[in-house]
Amino acid sequence: MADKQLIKVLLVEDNPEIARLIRDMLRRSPTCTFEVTHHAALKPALEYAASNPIDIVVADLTLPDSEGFPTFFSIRSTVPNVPIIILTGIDDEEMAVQAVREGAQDYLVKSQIDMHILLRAVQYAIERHRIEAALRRATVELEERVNERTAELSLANKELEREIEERIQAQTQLVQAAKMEVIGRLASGVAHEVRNPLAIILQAKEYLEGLVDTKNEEVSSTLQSMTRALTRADTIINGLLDFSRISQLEIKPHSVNELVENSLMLVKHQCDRAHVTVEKKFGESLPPVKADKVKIEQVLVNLLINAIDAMPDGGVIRIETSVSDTVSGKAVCVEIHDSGSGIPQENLAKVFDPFFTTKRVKHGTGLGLSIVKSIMEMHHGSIDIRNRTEGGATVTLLFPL
Amino acid sequence: MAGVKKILIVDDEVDFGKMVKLNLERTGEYQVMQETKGRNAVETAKAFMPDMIFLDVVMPEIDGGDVLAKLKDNAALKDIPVVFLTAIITDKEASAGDGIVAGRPFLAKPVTTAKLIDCIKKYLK
Repeated sequence: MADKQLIKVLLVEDNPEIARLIRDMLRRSPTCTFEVTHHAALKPALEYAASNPIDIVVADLTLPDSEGFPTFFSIRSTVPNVPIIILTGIDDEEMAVQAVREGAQDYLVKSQIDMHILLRAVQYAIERHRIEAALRRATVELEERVNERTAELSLANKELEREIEERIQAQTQLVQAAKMEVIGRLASGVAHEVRNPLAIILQAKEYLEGLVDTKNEEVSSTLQSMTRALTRADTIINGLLDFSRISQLEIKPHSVNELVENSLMLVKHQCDRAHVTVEKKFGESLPPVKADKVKIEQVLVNLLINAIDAMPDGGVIRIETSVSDTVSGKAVCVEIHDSGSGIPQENLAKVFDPFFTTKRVKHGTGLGLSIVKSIMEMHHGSIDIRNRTEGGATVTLLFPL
Repeated sequence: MAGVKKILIVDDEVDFGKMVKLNLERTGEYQVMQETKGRNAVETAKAFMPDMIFLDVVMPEIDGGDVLAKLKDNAALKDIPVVFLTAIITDKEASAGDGIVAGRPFLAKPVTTAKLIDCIKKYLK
């Protein structure tokens, strides 16, 4: 009978007659060889189960040392992966049903057991338990695969989001570059066309000045208004021309500290008038940067004047220069901090747009920062403006080395 | 009229030439001839024989650069100082080189009469 399946049964039954009956029935199985270990009490049964391989437990729940559900729970917690069949009397069938609900594979009413029912119950219990275990493993495996796939999808999704973000950025840069080019071309054309009529108006105004009574207050004030309007229009046009010509750079190595010092000298008068003091913290032995001296001084003067304008009641401008590490390598860094009121959040994203200005009343053209940014980009550098948590704003210029 | 300097202004902007003429002549020190067509500039200059010429750059048919070349080709006109008076550069750019841009004297429009007179005096010393 070498090809008969061997099944190890732990039989827990305090009634020796029933135990013997079950042993006999199992021994007569034509298909399986049952190796039955019998214990009449729970404790020795659990001790055996804990240290011996078994394929199935057949147990009465009413034992000398344990009664009812605790018997079932003790067995199940000792051998959680072994199927259990409950033996029950006709009186406590309800408890057996309950045990099945809690995880027992089956129950047999002792008075109704015959060999056929017993063998079938044992074999089915083992098979069902094996299928359930396989199902549980498959479920776990499936969950793992779902989790893995979800993680992969999440990663792919993030990658896709990054690509979309990069494309949007590239597109925005292209649109911005195209906008700048159009504005540049327009600027140069418009500047020429507008400066000619301005020239006529200026000459005509001067001619009329010689004919009218300039001592009359109203006449004098009208002429002054005309002069102011002409100057303002000319300033805007000059800004446009600057804007259309920023591509003509004369690049040479320069000391950033010297460029900053030169620019500070140019705005000294404005600083004094606005009660703005300047603090300098210059890095020593900074490497020279490749720059157009005039253009970078134009950038620095523009930024310094913005900082002064941001502090109408006086304040402090602190300028720091250093070498800093950026994502694309080392760069010489110029930081201009002011102690003004900062830039309203809604304006931060727009400050570099051509014609964006908050100084309309003071005749700002709105070209300053857009030109500054374009000049920095021509130097392959960058500009960043952000508000300081302690108040005021910081402008950071980076010149790649 | 002794000592009165003759100035020719070549500019297609009719009103601009007219206003410059009025402002300069009002001083009593200048006699101004206005020419609005670049192609007539040499003939007008030969007839007027100015002491100095203000020449626009961007003009239809022939631009200021070509007019200057023709003036320099003419033996009678070649020594007359010519200053480009144009809207294609800014006052800042003109001032940066003390009125000289790319080797040529320039004045940027819009320009005040005072600047025009300073310029004339500079070249007619």
